[in-house]
Amino acid sequence: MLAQILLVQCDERPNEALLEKLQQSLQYELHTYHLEHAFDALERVEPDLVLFNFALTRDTDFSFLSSLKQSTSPLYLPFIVIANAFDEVVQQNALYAGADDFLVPPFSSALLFAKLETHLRTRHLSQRLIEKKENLAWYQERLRHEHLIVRNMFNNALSRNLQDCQQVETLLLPLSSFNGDLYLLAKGPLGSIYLLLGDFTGHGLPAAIGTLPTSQTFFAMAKRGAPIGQIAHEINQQLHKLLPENMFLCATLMELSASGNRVSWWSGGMPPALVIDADDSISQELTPQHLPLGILPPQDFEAGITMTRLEEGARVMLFTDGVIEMGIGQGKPLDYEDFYQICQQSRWNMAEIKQRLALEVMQRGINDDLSVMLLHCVPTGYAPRSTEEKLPSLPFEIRVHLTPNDIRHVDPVAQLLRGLSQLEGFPHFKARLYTALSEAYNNALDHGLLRLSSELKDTPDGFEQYYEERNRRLSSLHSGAIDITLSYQPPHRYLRVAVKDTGPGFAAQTQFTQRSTYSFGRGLLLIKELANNIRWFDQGRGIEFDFPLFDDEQVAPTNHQPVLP
Amino acid sequence: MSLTTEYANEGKQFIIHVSGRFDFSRVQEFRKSYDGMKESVRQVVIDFRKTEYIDSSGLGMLLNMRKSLGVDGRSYYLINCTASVRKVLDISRFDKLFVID
Repeated sequence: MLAQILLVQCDERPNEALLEKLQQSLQYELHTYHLEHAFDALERVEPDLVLFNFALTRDTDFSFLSSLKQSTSPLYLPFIVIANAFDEVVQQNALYAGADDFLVPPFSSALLFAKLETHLRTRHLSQRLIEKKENLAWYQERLRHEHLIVRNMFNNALSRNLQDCQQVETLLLPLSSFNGDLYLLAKGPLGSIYLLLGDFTGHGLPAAIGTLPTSQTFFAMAKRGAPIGQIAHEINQQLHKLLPENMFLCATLMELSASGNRVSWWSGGMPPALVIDADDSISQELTPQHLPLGILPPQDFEAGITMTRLEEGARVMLFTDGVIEMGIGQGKPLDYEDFYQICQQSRWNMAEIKQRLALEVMQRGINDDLSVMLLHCVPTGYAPRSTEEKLPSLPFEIRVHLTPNDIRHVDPVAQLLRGLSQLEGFPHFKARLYTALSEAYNNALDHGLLRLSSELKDTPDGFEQYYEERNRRLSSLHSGAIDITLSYQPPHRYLRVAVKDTGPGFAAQTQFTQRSTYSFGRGLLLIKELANNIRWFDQGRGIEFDFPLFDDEQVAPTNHQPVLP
Repeated sequence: MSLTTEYANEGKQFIIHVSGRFDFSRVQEFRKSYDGMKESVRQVVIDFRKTEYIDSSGLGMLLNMRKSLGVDGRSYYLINCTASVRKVLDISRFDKLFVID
């Protein structure tokens, strides 16, 4: 595009010589206006350069020049004044007023064009600078907006962290607004506490990006009560798939049992966690045995965990290497010994450790995200509590008659349990009901129909022989039957269970007696403890009991003495 | 439904994870899981976190394992028991032979 040149004339008579010179060049498009239309012309022409053909005899000329210059945008618009002013002071005043250059006639076309080109070049630079600035501002705004979205996602991902957990105290000091250190906490279905303290390669947003898959996997698996080794394996697989080669997650995963006296842990690439005994001494260093997460392909991953039993009053301290890398860049590193000393002197009181570390950070400077976590190993108090389960209001009775063929091909206890689990309130009791029903059924089958002797199980290899013999006899069983009856009569909170076989009765039932040794008379013992009102009928061919549909802690109905043979 | 094993604490510990039911249907599978266990193992751990049901044959299998692996310099742990599994273990006073938590 041709450069647009605005020529501002100060008097009626145009400068013929100048016009002629400019019109010689084909590189410019010339627009000539009188001084009094100069402001309009600026808007209309949008010139790349302004030439003033001035007399410069009046002060008003300077102030006009000045106000015209001020009206232009930050983009450099060169003002070149052409005037018959040999006085240097006049030239100076023009420059101060806003002119960018000064030409005193007579001058050659070559000089004029050289001046024009120089100033147009500067204008071009100015243009590019402004474009870059605008681009930068746009990118900055976009980045801010993207960070906002990502931060939101992070906050949501981490909002699943277990809140108000009395056992855990933390100090989390990210270097930038995104933390490359990761701290996750969740409770398991059996009341254990799962935790993860990790440190992604680097810091800031790129480091933090692995937080999303890691936290999702962690929370989902903790909720299911998965073992620590499996969680480590799964996170490793995720990160190995997602992260670039040079990025990984140093981490310690730990599960504190509901009882509070055992931790299972997996650790890769982290500073050793410390076990602190009740007397405040460091009794163990839990040194990592693995590579960090995200490095090894799943088939090479080592999921081996360590279980550590803890004394009463023990604590476990975990920290990321930001703690002991503090001050390294400034030549004032805080090493392990210094850190341990700080903790010892604070008697492992987290509030005090926080204060002292804050002081150290001020004195030494911080190079990396920094996290410290103290786990108090006491019973978690998260173990599931029993509740009064709501039960169905409809009475029912289930009768099952099993022939040898049924017995060979179906697992009646499991099937009945599956059916009962569909009923309101029953799932809560199904494990215990399974045990009781399974004992009664297996007794009827093993000793009633198959006439097996439990004594076989007492010999060294007898245990398996017993079950082999059981399978052998079962496959050739041709007669007999087992009847199971389950009845439920609300509002009574029990399920009456009756299991009867067509065997010889008490004559074969000698096995099924209570023995206090750790031998194989446990079946009846289990029924006795799990159920009420046990009685034999039909000369010992049948057993009936009431399986309670309430928890032990609740008020139990009168427990009648079992009627035993 | 599976039974998985792993070594922990640098081969000093052997963990068996039992999921689903722990009764006579698992006799052989359970027996095989500790066949050929390393001599170095000092602690045998049964992790019951995924066990839904247990009955007296399950208890028998535990005793059988203890007998067959021996108690010389070895201890046995039953961990992460659900309330129902725990109840069955308590009834039979397994706490006298196993460390339960």
